[in-house]
Amino acid sequence: MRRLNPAAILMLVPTHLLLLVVIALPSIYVFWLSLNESTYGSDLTFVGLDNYVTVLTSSYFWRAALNTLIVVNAVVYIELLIAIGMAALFLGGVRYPKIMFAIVLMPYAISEVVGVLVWKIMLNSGSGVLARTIESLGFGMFNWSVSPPLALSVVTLISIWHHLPFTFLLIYAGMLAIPKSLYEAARIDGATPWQEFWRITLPLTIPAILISLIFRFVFAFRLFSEVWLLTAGGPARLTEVLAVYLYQSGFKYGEFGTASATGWLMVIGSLGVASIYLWAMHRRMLKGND
Amino acid sequence: MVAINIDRFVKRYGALEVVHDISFDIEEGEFLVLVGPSGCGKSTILRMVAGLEEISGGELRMQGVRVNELSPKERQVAMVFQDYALYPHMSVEQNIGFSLELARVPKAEREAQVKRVADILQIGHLLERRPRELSGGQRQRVAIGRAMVRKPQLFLFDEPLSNLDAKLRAEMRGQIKRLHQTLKTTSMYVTHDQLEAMTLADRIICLFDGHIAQMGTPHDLFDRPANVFVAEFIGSPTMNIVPITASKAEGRTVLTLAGGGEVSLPDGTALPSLTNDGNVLAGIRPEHLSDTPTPGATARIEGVIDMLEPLGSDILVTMQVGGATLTARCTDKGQFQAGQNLTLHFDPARLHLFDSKTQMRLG
Amino acid sequence: MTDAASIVLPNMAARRVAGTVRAIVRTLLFVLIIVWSAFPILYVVLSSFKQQKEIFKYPPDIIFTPTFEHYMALATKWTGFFPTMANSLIVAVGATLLACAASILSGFVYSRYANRFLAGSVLYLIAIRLLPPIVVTLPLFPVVDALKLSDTHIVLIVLYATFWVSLCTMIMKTFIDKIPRTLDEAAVVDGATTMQTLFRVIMPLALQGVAACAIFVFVFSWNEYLFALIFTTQHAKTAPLIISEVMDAVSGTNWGVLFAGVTVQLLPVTLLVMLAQRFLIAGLTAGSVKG
Repeated sequence: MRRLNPAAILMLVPTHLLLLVVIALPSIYVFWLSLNESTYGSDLTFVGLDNYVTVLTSSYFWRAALNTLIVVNAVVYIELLIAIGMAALFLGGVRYPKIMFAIVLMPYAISEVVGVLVWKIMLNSGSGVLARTIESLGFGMFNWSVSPPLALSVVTLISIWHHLPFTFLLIYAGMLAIPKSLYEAARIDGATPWQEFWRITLPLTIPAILISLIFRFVFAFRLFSEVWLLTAGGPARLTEVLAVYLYQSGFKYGEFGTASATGWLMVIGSLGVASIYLWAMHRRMLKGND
Repeated sequence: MVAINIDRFVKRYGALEVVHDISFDIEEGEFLVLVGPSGCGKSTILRMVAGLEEISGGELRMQGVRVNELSPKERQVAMVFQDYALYPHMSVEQNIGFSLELARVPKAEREAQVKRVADILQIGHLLERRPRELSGGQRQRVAIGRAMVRKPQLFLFDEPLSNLDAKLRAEMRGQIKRLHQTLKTTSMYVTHDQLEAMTLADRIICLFDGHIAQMGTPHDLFDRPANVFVAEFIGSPTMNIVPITASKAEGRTVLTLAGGGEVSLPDGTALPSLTNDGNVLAGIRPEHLSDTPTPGATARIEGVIDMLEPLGSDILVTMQVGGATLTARCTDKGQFQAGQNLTLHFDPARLHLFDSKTQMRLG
Repeated sequence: MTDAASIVLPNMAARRVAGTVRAIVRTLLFVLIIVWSAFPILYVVLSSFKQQKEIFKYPPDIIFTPTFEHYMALATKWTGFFPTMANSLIVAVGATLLACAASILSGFVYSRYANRFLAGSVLYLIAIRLLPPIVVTLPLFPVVDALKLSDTHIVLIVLYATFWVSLCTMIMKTFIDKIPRTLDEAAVVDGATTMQTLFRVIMPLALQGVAACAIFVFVFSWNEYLFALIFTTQHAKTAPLIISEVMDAVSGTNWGVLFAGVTVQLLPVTLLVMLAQRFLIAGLTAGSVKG
């Protein structure tokens, strides 16, 4: 390990300059913005915590927060369960692994815009191939555009479809890292494949699971495009999530102050979720059983 | 002529001092070996000389000029690393020629230099290969070649043979020795293997815990170890060291072992002046103990054979003498059996005495 | 050895049946995974080759005579599309180059140097990734406007690169950590400067990491929607944005042409991701292990 010298410091400049100018300073400035009243082209007026009061007393905000909470948790946990199942399936051996991985990775390569477009068309009531299949099975009209719960379910579905490759790979890599000798020892001890999974694979994959949970919670919290492109928050702002609420107040109504307050509340929420899991990971490491 | 002065070297990592005020010189053309157990600071000193590790205190002079602040290139040192540190993405030729390329030596000249070195090391046929396609010994030679091509002021070797198996190690040891006899480049060699130190060195510095335990020729260290640490570190099998009490009875000197055994020394044996009322540590090398009386071997010691370890022509005999354990290296003619009584003979001149408190050599 | 249990032969026939059942279930699950992952994409791609009236036929034809009329229309009628593809390419390549260059340099420093500032700033690098990107658009919007950078490639390049540079730094650090330090030292002894060490010795050995970073940034930039929506209006508009606009057009969407455009947009990166999966997996593992 060498001591930091001027040449090394110079090499850090591009990365830290970008982060400082584009993320760190603006984030701090957002906090200042959130304490002011501001709109396009007007000077700031200090209003204290007024924006926070406005946001926290807005029923749209609480609706968006609730939607975010439900969708994020649904996305993260359903995705996690599918990913664990898929990883276990792949771990049991897969034919043509390169091709299978290539196929599984496909949704990762797709733009959110295209993802929404495809699912929207396939689920379009009355004309979409999936919607008509559902309808022909006798479930009634699949009209998610007028039903907020159904619309949010579609958002959840698209989000899971999009991000499953990522979670799957993280968990699969975690499972692959388990030494083969542990399975061999378990087999000698008489474990069935089912017992191998519950007693060895799953407990030893917990660190990977926690990491992917942090990643996914943080990323799912940003959920914007799926909702914006599918419903634009409608009908009647009932399907908004926090990022959409922020976008509406900032870029549609031009209320930068309240948008900033929303932004800071999102940051706090995001950090809060991450810190819970970081804390869990830290505890596991202290116990030394990672 | 002195090539390198190491003047009061100190190395600190934060509050932890690992090299304490060490000074020595290296003569022009000398092969100096730093030897010691792991953690004694030998590699740190080498790396400080190389310019890879900052010198926390003291001065490094080459040809009388202070070079503390110079880069390895400016110090004109070359180094052979323990793990060879060959660039995996370059061919043997590129590996050896890399330093010349960086120094903007023209291509033709570079190729000639690489070829010259490769021929000396007999790796001319490997120039197109990548390091991973080479055996351990071949990699070792490439690493040496890379150091040689620079025509350095000083060759540094950081445990270069420790990753090789025993047979190859002996072979490469010979090769390094021959190479030094041909090139006569001033060299500093670090190892934890005392045998390597003994065979290669013009002069050895034995280090212990960041201090110099002893400095001298291989013979100095073997024949007159300055303290118990060097006595035990140099030589294999290890020197027998037992606490004894020396006393004069009826004009003769008698050494009493801790467990009660006695060794009588012949008349006229000159012992150095003893400390601590004659309670000292006595040391004798296994190869200086013999089961047959030979000329000069006039002291005797009796005990019971405890264990036998045949080595082929020789055998290691471990003997219990009044609570102490002694190992002797004898010629194996099938004459020993465990449980047997045995008398060993030795030349009192071969006896080493050490202060039992300071562990320093007496006399 | 008399009290050891004697071997009881299991029912081999039953075991064979159970094995067969398990194999069938596993195969079905794999088929399900393939359908789930690939069907939506194949649906669009295939539809782009169908006649306009066949596209929404139910049940859809699997076998049909392909037509290239939508691709012709894409080239001739939807004149706005290909310029946005060019924008996407410029922005994605630019962001990839910027993010990779910055993170190779900083990843090297984080791997090879020790210092209290560095140790602390690793946490900062992780924490900064937790911020929702939409938050910074609020203060950046007027700044970008004032700098006359609105609706330019540069603003997207910088934004995309910045949101990946911290993760890429960690990925590069992980890859460079795996290269033995003695190689750097050998290079220094051979007379290499820090830059020469980095580009002649370290970089060639960490190419896998560079490839991983490049794919992450490229795929993200190629597909990104939110920043493009906020910061571009016309000249720098990227392909996802124009696709979203056409898809939301109140009436008269020509689905066939849109599908052709979508196919052109998604095919290159899908192939890239499929072919470069090795680097993607390596990069993902490297990036996540270190937080």
